[in-house]
Amino acid sequence: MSESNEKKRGFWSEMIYNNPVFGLYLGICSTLAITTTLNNALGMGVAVIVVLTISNIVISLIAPLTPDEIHIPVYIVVIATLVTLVGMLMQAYTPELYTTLGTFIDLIVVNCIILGRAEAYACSHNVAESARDGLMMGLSYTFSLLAMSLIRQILGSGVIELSNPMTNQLIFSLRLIPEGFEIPVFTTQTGAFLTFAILAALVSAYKLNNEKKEAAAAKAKADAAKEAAKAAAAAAAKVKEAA
Amino acid sequence: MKLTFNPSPNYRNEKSTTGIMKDLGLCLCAVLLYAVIYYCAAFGAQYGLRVILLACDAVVAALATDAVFYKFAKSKDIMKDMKSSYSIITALILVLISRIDTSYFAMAVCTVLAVYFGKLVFGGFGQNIFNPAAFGAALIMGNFAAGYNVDFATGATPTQAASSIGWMIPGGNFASFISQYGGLGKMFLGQYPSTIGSTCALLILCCGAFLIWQRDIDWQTPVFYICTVFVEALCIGLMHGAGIEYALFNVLAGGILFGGVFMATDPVTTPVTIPGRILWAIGAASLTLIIRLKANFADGVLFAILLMNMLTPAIDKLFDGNQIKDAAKFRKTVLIGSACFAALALLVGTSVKPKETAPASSGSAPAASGEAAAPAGGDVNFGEALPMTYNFNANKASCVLDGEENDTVRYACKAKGFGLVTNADGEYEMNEAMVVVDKATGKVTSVNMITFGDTEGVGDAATSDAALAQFEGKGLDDEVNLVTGATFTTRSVASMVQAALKEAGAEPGTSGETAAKPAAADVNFGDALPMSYNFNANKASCVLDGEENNTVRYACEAKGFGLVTNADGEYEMNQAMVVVDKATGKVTSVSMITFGDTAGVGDMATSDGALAQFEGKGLDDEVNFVTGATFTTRSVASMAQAALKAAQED
Amino acid sequence: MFQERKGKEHMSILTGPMRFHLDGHKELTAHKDVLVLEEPDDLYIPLVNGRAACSPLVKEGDEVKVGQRIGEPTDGFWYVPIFSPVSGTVVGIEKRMTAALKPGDHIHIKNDHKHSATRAFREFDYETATREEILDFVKSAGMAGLGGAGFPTFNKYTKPEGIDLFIINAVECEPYLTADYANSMANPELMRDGALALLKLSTAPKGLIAVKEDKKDLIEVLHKQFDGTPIEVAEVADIYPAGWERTLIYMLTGKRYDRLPAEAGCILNNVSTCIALGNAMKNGMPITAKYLTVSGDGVKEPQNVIVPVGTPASEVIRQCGGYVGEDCLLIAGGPMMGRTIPNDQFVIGIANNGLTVLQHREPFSVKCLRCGKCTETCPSGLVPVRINACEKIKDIDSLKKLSVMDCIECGLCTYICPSKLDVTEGVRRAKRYMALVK
Repeated sequence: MSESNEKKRGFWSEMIYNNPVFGLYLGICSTLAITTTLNNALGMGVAVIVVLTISNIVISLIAPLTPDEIHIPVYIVVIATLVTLVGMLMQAYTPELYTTLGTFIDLIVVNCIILGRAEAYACSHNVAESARDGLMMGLSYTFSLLAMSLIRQILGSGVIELSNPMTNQLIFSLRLIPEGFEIPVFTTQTGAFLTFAILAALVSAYKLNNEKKEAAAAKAKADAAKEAAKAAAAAAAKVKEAA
Repeated sequence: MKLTFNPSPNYRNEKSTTGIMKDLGLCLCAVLLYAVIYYCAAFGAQYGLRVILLACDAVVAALATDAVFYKFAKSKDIMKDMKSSYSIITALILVLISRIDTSYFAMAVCTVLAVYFGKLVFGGFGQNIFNPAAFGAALIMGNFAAGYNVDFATGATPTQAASSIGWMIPGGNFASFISQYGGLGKMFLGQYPSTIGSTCALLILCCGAFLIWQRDIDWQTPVFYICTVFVEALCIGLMHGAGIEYALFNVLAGGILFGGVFMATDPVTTPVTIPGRILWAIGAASLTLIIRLKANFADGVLFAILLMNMLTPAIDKLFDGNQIKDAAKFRKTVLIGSACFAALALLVGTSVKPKETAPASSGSAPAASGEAAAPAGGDVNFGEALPMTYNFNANKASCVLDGEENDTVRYACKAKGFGLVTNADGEYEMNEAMVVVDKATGKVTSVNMITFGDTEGVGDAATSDAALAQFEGKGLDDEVNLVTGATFTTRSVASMVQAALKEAGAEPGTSGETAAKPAAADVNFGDALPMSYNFNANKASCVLDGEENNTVRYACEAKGFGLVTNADGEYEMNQAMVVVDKATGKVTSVSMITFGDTAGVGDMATSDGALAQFEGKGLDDEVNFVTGATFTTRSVASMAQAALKAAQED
Repeated sequence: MFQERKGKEHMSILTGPMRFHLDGHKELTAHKDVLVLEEPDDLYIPLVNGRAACSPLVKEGDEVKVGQRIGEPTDGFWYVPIFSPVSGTVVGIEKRMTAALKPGDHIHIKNDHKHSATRAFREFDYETATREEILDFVKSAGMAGLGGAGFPTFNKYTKPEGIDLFIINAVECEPYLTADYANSMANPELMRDGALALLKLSTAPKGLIAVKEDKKDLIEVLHKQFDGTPIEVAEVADIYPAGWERTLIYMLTGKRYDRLPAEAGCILNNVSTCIALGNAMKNGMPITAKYLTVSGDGVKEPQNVIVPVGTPASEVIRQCGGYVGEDCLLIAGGPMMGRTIPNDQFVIGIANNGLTVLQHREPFSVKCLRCGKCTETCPSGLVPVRINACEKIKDIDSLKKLSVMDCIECGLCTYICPSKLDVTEGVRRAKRYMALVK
């Protein structure tokens, strides 16, 4: 896809096309593990946005200075520092969330999205672009998590619940499926894989559909251009004849 | 008049896939019909109706999933796609491998998930990797177990019972273990409750023969699967002193026959070549035994089949070639592969321990006790401890004064033994023994058998001189040990000794020695049971008995095992006195008045140690099931709950 | 009494039976009278018989007699000369659609219905002749495999080494076909002469004539003819493809071979070839007419016919009552291995022995359920279900292992497939794909 194509897409379209989870299949393990509730998803998502954006900024700044042979350990040190900071902040201000997410906060260090974007984008672009990329990737990651956790929580426990991570107060709790009719599969790992499969298939179908439409549109454009060229040539020939 | 072109050949056999599926469906319906009849006869029309409704539930769910999927997939001919998707077979198999207390919701949801994720997502019929019915059943087992409808409980299935004792039943215990299911003969005919379809071995084998005769399924897979299970179980059993009955039990219990005939023969998920199928069957059989022996699941058939389904594409690749030119290579591969699987199973089998074997079973217990004259150590196989204050209700022991001498009193006692307590067939008489008690100390001086009325060769392990010697010097506060393999007879003898001690005036706690408190550690606690549980079936009720300070005393009664399951035998309501602290809303104490369930089985839940767990519990707390006496635990808990609720309202 | 050998695979539970009993529908034509076809006015003799090509010896306007040599082979190996089946005038060399669905040269003869014959060969006594003389006679008499292959017979006998069994194939396992049977019942002495001549040619000490065990009357005839000769009557089971070389040799000797039956010490020929040779030796006439089975539910009067070589198929069908139904499959040969020809203009050649006309019905096919029945019945020991699956995804490595080229396209896999798939066609596609990739 060319740069111009990327810019043409709308915000939501970009969310889906450049989605790290369902488009690039990065960061799947944390997606599958923690999306049991909305709280977890939001918490993780915010953490990743923060880490990703800042790490992209830092790495785009130091990339020109880093020798090629050691660039990976250098990036990882940066990312690990950020993750530790974020982790400590979470432990202080949102202890419940910290306990629930547990290891997965530390595992953000090796989340493929962060290192992947650092390698693929941040080291070769300027600060503004890297920051924007980090933010967009983080946001699409968060949206994927939200989608997964919504489905899993609604089907698996029947309620949508959101609580303030800092004070642990329930903001709202909506029961969508009557008690006794939830499908516990979706709160387990089996359900995680099943949900992931469906969402990945939907994204893939959307992309394919779009590509088909774009190809058809491009072809139509090319045909029209040919026709126009032919008409122009005919007209020119007529003019010549008349002359 | 048109002459068409069609590549050769232009001659086809009449047998079609639809015909094969029709035959399969016929056999599955026959098994279903048997299940309906059995459940109606054994448990009542409600149960039979439930089977039919579950089947309809699954079939409708499967067809609906198909329809919705093909609609969304914009199929050109939905009816043809649905007809050639054969989801009804999946639905029927799923119903037959589920338990009858599965909720309708669980059945519908799991059928939808099984058909969609197990089959349609892979491309429909013929393309799936995993057996969709096995996948659905695994989902039910793993995720909807909490939703089991208590009203339709039928008791522990043979695989659950076997699994709770470690899947190893040494020869001596086998007869008593199998009697709760009516013996191997009754098991073969399917006269016991388990999953809905896997009980009647005779019917399933007939269906298998029919399907093989009609060439709907191949014969290699089911024959090799069942035979390998039998042979490996036989070897493992022989390693641990169990005989051929153990191997037969393994084949008859659980889903081996049903899985072997209907699920392992699913052509889509098993290899295509004959040597591939043989290897697959032997692998599945070995895995089944390994999972049964070692894993937490009661029955390993489902997961063995699913695991081997994973290996099917690899096995197919292994046997790619020409069956004539590569015959020697294929033969070698099958032999090596089967040997590996079998060796694995046998290796696992060597490390199986039956759960009831106490560390003292190697015969060192009598020597270590140092009390009575140690009989030849290895002769008597002593098992779990048995307190002399035990409730020997079922034994109906009675004593008659026979004579007195110095300080000792002699009683001629009689009590019911194995046969008369379990209502087993055969000629059984009361056990009779002469018990001599020392009046001063309140301890037993000697026990001699007069009449032995139990099973020869089985029960008399508890009446040997060495076994009877354990009672010498024991009083009502002491403990003796059950003789492994002759627990009923031990109890019978102990009941007579107890009756004699009581007649002699001894009372628990007055013999001058500190009464050994039955340690709570003696009680085998299992899963958690919340005190807010719905004890519908127990129909517990309370009557205010009295008040004292802050506590209220209720006389409660509730149905127990016998009355809930409508089992044969003399069962009464359980009655208990529950004392509740009004201030805290917690139980102060529970003591049994009447024990109405199976002696020797349910009374593990009414021992002091078991009842002690209710102390300090309220409606928000949890207690634990006593393993092996879950019904009685529920019964007692229902009474405690009723008392707590009544205390709240007062 | 000859006993069928049970080779290694019958003892093994690791393979399927690799054969199947088909309902042959032989009773439609077996015991009916053989119809001698009314000779048509125009006959077209193909100049190419399979791979044996000939150049014409006659030109437009020439008069020909029955048995006259009219075509000389161009190739030394694929050497099958052509003889005229009727007397008449040569109209010319014309292009006509052949059974291979390609246009080919044919000698068009206008029949004068006079049956004037010329004796093509002198009387030949095989008992006194040497091997080389018999071989030469077989070659120049235009003997070819009349079992359907059309292979020049003499080529099998040029240098026989280590042959200890000569086999005559009177099995005719293809469903609907009874031409060999009718031919054998009608010409037993010619069969005997031809068989013994070929036995001598093969240098084998003994021979077997293989026939299906349910043909009791033919067995009796065979016993009458062959008892006392080195050729023994061997009854084989009524299964398909008992008439295939490899399966028949395996059933009779228990041996398997790689490329040629000579590796197993056997030489095989069809019984109609023997009868044609006997006719050539005794009556001096080449192959001018064929026994043809016209059968199937798509023709009004199924029966065996005697047809002069070069008769158009449409003529044969017309004389058998015509087609039944609106949509038919016209198959040259039997329904299992014969090819459907979408027009009836092709002519009957020396290698044809059947026209099967079936009404065309689309089967209800579903997806492959991997039942493995095709694998169990494949007489070559292949795994057609895997070949089809690998061909779909173009998995060349697995296809190499699956010995695709051993398939003789006998059609048993498609026959037995319960999902009514075109399994054999899939194997053919795999063969083509492999040839392409190499």
